[in-house]
Amino acid sequence: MSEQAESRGRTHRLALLYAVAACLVGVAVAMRAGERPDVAALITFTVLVVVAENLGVVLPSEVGVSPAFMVVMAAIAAFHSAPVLGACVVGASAGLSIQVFRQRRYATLVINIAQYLLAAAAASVTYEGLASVPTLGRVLVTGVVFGAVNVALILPAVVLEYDERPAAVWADMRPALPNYLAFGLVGTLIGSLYSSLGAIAVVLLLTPVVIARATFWSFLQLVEAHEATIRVFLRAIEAKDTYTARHTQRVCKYSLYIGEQMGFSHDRLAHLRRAALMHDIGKLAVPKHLLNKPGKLTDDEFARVQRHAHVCVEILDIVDFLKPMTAAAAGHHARYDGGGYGGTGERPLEAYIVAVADAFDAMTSTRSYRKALAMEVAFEELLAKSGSQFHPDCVAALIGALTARGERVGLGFEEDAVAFEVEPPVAGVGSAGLGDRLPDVPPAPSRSAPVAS
Amino acid sequence: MTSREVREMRLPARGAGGALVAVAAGALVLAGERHWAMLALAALVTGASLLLQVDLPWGGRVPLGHAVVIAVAVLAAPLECLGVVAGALVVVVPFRALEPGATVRSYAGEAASLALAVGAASGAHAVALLFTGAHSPLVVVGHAVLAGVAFLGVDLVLRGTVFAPTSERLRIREAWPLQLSLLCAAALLALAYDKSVTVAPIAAVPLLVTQFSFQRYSSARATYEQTTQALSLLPEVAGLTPLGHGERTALYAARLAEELGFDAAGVDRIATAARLHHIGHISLHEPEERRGPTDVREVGRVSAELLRETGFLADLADLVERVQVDASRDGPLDAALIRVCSTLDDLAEAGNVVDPFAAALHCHPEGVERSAAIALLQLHDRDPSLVDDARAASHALATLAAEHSSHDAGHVHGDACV
Repeated sequence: MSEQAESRGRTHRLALLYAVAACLVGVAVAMRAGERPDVAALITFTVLVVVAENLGVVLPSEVGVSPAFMVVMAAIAAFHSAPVLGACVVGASAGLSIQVFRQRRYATLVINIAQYLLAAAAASVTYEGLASVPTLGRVLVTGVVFGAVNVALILPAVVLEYDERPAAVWADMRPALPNYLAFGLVGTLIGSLYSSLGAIAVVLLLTPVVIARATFWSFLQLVEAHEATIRVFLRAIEAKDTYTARHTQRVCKYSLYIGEQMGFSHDRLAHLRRAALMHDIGKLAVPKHLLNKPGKLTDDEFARVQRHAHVCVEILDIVDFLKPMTAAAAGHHARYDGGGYGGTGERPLEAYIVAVADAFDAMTSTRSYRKALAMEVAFEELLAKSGSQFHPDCVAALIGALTARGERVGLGFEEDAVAFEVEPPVAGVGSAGLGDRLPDVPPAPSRSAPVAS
Repeated sequence: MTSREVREMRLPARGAGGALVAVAAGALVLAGERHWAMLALAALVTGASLLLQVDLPWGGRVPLGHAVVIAVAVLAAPLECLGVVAGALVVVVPFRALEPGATVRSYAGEAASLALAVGAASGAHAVALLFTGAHSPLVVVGHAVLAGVAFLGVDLVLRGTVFAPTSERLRIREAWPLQLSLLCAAALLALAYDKSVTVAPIAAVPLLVTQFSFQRYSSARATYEQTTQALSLLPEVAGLTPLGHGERTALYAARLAEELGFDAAGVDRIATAARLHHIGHISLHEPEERRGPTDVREVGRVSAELLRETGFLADLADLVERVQVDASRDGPLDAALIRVCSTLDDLAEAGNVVDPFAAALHCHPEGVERSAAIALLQLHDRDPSLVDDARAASHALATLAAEHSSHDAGHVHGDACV
């Protein structure tokens, strides 16, 4: 409690400091201006900035970018008379967030108003000073100045208010920087449009942007619904077989490790995540007693599992982002050298990633009838089949990612360890789930036997 | 040809269109004062921009070029404007020919509706000129808005009726945000061009932002639909419900909901609920172990529970639950219509009923269900291909169904009125 009060006290002192600085700068700018800023522009951009600040767009990467920055940049470029003063007024208005006000975080409100004012003043002075520089350079430098002041002033405030390490806060903010540059460019464009064509041009430009924002919001809702639907699938699989559910989540985790290690984009990682989560969809159509039967299946049972697996391929084939997973669902794995189900041909990298993650988890998790392998043994196995059964880049990425994270899995580190009545052997390199129970697959074209199924 | 293949084919055309726009815009600036050269380049820009199409999430496509055409109608004299559009249509021909499914008829339809719409826009502009001759930014914007409303109105009427295949018909209720964006871009283009040719490309900004957001929404919607399709197949491949039942019910329900005046979001919600109305089977039953008729209320309750647990689909869960549980005759229409459609599918697939639509009405003789069944009957009278469409929708499974008919023979789906 006292700690919280102390943190609040520090935030208040910071707010006071910022407010004094902002007032000093504001008065200095007003005294130097000597004339009144263009009233129409002042009203237009002040209204715009308040609306924009309160309609913050949350991008899919969960990095909030306030369009207010764009409007402040527009204002900097738009004012003909007393540009710095105009920019300061618009900048200060950018801090007027209804949400913050409602939450009674008045200190934060003051900090925001002050920091936006200071950043806008600095950026505007820079913009005026660079009048002879070509537009692109001028905008870039102005944007950087705005961003630098903005970040330098916000960072201590966030650190104080949320009690986080500066490095962590900075890591959160960093991904948004390119967006700020793009917003800055568009903002300057709007500003020059205003000064050459008038306010009506800004309205015409921004109406489609507002509509696009609404559409984008629907898009985000849809993405959320999609995630929820995938959770339905996970719940269903969990109800049926807890091992498969946890296996699915681990495969997903390893797949993301590999994807991150290989430098996938945010969108591609999201896609990989969904594909990895749903790659076992076929298990839901397999009777429970077959799914959990220890030991090998009879020919008849095997035929039934195969038939279901085949139908599952058809299911996955309907979904574009799951198409790469069809091979895994058919009870086989996407072999790197083109063997196995689906024949030869280039597969998307995602298929190989999930195949490696799947085999790795199968080896390093304990089943009711056999123990997990040690992580090192699993690594050796992956490396031995790297280039034939597994994509070498994916194997290297997984090993690299796990080593870099210092994560330990496998024998002695299992998350679902089983208490055995009779110690089973530490042997049997098999795939999780179905693969364990399938009879030996007819000899593969390559010399080495497949690791999984 | 699948929608994916169509999409892949369309990409090069888009790229080519974009490149053409860029080249033409550059040349337009260089051409300066020569009038004929300007007109030729305007035709090129217009043609290229007609190739840039936005897919509406609910079907139908709108070319971004409509904004350019409206601006041309305001900036050029009526005859010049028709000439520019004619030139643009020639530019479009080779790209349209590359598109799969393109026919002479569809191209003629496009050309005719474009010509008529441009005529309307030019006419509206000419009338506006009679009243306001002065040249101020506001007047230019006013003219552009008038011409744009005339153009988009005529286009909407034509493409909503005669000139488009059913699947691509535009409806004002869903198309207006896009149309409004185009109108703004057209006015901005006219305004900017009026000021200076070099400012004109600014109009590309709203167009590109619009294209980006609509395209993302459309593709996300397609992915979501595919995921729900895959989920709806789970109880079916497990042999607990007839193969393709969810997908066919969804198609019937979507058509019926459209017919009954639900908006696009409502139709989507009903189609998704119809796809997932039997999902509860997967946690209620073991595959291949179903014996005798199921308690449909239990299926409804479990289905809804599954959806509710996800936290986000609670609204959908309520609807799914009502489909099976709340079978009161004055219950809500959305649940009733899914119920009627599910019955229809059971009857149509059982194959021992001559007229499944009449039989479905017989199954639901009272209240809102009766009205839904009657509407479905009328829909079928007007569009007898309904059942074939539904079977085609679950085509990938139809082949499998045949393959596994021996396996499924043991599962007779007795509860026809579900």
